[in-house]
Amino acid sequence: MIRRHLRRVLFLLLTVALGSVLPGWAAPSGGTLRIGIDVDAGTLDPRLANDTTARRVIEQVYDGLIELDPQLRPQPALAESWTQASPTVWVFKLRKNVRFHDGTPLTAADVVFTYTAILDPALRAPLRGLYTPISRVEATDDETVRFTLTAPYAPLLKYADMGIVSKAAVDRLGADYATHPLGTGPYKFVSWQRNSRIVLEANAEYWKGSPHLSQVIFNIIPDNTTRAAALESGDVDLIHSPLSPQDVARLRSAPRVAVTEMTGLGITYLNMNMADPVVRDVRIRRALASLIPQQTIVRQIYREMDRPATSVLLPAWAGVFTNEIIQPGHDITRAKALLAEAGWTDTNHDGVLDKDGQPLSLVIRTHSEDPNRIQVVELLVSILRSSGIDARAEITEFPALVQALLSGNYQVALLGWLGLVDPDRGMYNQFHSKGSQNWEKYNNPRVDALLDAGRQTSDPADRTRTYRDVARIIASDLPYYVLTYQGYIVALNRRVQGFVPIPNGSFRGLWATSVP
Amino acid sequence: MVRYALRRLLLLVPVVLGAAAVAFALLLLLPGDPAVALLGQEASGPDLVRFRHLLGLDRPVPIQLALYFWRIAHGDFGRSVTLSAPVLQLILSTLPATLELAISSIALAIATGIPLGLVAARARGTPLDTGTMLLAQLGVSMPVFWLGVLLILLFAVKLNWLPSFGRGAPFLSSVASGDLRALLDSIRHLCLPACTLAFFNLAFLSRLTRWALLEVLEEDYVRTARAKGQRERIVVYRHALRNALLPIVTIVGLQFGNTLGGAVVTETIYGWPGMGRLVVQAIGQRDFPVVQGAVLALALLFSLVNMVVDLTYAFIDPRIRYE
Amino acid sequence: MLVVIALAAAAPWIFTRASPDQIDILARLAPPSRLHVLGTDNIGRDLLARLVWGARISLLVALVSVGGAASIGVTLGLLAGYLGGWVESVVMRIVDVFLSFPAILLALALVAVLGAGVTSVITALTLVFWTQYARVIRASALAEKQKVYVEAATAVGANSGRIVIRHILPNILSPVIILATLGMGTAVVAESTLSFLGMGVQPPAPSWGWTLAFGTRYLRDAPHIATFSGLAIMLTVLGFNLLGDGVRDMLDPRFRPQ
Repeated sequence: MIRRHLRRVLFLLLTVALGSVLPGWAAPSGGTLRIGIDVDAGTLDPRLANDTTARRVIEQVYDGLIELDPQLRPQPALAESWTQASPTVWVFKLRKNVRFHDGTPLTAADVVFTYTAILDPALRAPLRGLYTPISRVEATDDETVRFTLTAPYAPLLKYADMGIVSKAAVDRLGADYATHPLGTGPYKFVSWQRNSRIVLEANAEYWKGSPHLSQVIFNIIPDNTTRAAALESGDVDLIHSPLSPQDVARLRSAPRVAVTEMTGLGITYLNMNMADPVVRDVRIRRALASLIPQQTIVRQIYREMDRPATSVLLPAWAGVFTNEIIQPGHDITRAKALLAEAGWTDTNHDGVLDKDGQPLSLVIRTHSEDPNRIQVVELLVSILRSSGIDARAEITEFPALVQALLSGNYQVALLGWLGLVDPDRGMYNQFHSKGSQNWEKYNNPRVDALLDAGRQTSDPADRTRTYRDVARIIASDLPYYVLTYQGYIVALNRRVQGFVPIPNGSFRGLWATSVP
Repeated sequence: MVRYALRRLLLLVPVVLGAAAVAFALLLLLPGDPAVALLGQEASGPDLVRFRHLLGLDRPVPIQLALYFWRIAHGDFGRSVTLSAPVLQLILSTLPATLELAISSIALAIATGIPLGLVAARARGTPLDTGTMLLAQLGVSMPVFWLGVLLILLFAVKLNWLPSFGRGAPFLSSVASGDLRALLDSIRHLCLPACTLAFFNLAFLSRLTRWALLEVLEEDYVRTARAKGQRERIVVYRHALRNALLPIVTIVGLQFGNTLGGAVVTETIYGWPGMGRLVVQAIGQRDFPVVQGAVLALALLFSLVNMVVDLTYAFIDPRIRYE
Repeated sequence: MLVVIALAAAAPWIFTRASPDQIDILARLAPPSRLHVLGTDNIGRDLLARLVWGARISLLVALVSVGGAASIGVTLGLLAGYLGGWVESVVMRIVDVFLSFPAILLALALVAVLGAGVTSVITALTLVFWTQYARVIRASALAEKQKVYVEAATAVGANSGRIVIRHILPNILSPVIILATLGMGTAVVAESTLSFLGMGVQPPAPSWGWTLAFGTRYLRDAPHIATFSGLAIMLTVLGFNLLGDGVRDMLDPRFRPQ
């Protein structure tokens, strides 16, 4: 009798052993990845998302027509292939047999629905400005989508990673769709506890194959230091920029942690208001630029997390970037000469330069949410004061700052840009006289012409030439003084395997990641 | 007494509405508005105008206020501008977290602070007294966020005993369901934030208790009781303490009220998903509907708490008569 | 005895205002500890000098905001407690409205509206803290009003004003003093909290709050910043509290030390 029991037990043991050894028998155990993120998402509807966390989550729940690889080149995603039928017509052929998480099939109608909605002003899509050259989107059949443009638009492909929503689900859920996202992506939405965590689980029927992780949890930890501490203590497995420079310095040498650093798609820069009576003088702007100890700032305040910038061209723009175009560098003598040349001298010997009886006063603004920028402004103010400029800092919350920018109520502001995947993204709206983010009211017809040309030509050599010309002019006129190229840093627990970072912060690489 | 309670309840309404109106006014004075905040750097002139019109921000203020109250009366608290959910839902989802933190920290403060103050008062003049009061001194002077960061560094990073952020399972539901693991998870996450918050209140309370008790112990009726030969213990606890409770209760009420919304810094450091953090973010992002809704909710809570405090006065000290 | 200690603690902070201006040593951005007596701060300014000058700001904020809050609160609280009736109702309603805002949020909103800076912080803190005094004073006034000596005074024919000022007020001053001195400490801590959240005194003003806020971000690399600024705050608060105790001991005839 005992022998019979023994045999049964042995049999059971064997089955279990086999089950855990043979692939496919055991339950998918790619593990759970816990990510630490800084802000809570605003909405999980890809058409309306405007913050980084929302984009990270949306990248998992949705697919776009294309996806950007680590070199920022568009790769097929929902679109199997595409052709440019004419300079103003693009045709995308959709992958077959792709299903939404609720089982319904993806059709061209969903793509048309997504893009039409974004273009509709009533929806208030924050990124609508990137898609305005699209005049019409139509489904020529169930698997083909045709985009018609008002003019050739070179960056279009790069912006085609917009997540495709399910028309049926949107019709059914209405505004609730934002909190119950339904897409075709590698992970399905499970739950969202506000300001706490967002939980996703693997989509086993994903068209590329089931992702290796069974679960992804986004933990919302606003404080940079706490987030870094959470990684060190093992409470989260992965964190990425924004990070505090001193935490990065420490994480580089932490035993359990692997840090990857690369050049990112953001810049930190000084926006100079060309409409301001003082700043309008190009010599003042050049003098300012010459007073800024860029290397020191990057080394001391940013602890080499970012790199000193040379011009408005980003290193990540392969083929376009060159470090031969340089803004005025740190040169105090030249600064003093420029100020004198502009007519500012200390006539009353009070330590402050003046002209026509008015002291040279300057207010540098930035926003309170970024301690690094606050320190940079403090440093700049003290440097300017020692050079005879009556400088003052004004630090406000971000919306107040944006308000000031929009109304032109500022002189110099320290700000940043993120997600500049393409030179057009980093220059058109900022420097074109009709650009929607040209708060500094920069107006240069030559630059306008160049930017329009750059937008319309797809020839890489042409684009390179065009944008380098723009950068040269900007480096001379200085509506922007670019301080740093932001680095993109990912710090993860060493046991995480297979994560491929992408410079725009995208987590599309999670598909291949696993946590044993 | 009942009539008084009812009257106070009725008076709640204008107070709460008044608070909402003040919040409204304040928000409109803030530079920057939801349109700017939402569209952020992507904002362009015409988009802003359109957006403001959609939000009703271009109408005159009194009309906006009236519309707001009208909607409230119908139970519509609006939708958040920056977060994609109805305001009511956001508040209801974050309120339990804040309540959990507030109640546990106040309970901790009361349980530790008042006895400490009692001990100090009884042992007046001795090293025990001085020692306790110095400790209280530290608690009152230490900024919350410093303590928070220190505790995280010590317990979460160095010792790795406790988690460094976030909220565990909801306390009440894990008690109710008898799920021991959930309960443990809940307490583990609650521990550090509650202690951080409690420290200040605990210190304050101990000082206050000591002072109040000492004041009262010199009163005539106490001397009488002592002269009558009552045991010291009864003198202290039955007679003196009851009277000393008056300011203590006031302060506890105030502290509870403050903790509800003022746990902002603690919530930020620990990533605790509470209402304080929600409101601060909403202020920073000019998310008017959320701020207004939260103010209403908090106003209601506070007023209720204050009312309870007032009623407790009458219970403690029958000499306080109300017209 | 306590008074002497308290004054000694408070005095250095007042005297050191005479120190020469110190900010703006750019060269050393990282914070070491020996070359400068207390080290340098996150962008190379001498920490001791920053703290000493920060004392001015913190003291100013504390004194003015507490003074303002106490004045408003005591006045309204007395009126409410003594006069009762509709006065009490109105005043207490106003108190309730203010109290229904959590302190930090109200302060934050006020500073955001007024724009960051010392005056805004002071105004905000005053408007936030006055309610504490009002409530406590009202409760005490209510209790005192029932006491024998008030009845006696009324019987003798003294008018209300006289009763309030000469009789009731001295008896309820003790809680005010305690609240006020602790309030100073709270004000200093509140100011640093506002700075931590990014809405306090404007840099580069050397407010302790800013210094402590930045110090906590660098806590693991340069603990001395947070330590010393926190210490500065604590010592000042301690000084105030001891001062308060001493003053109360002097004022209150029943509390002569044995």
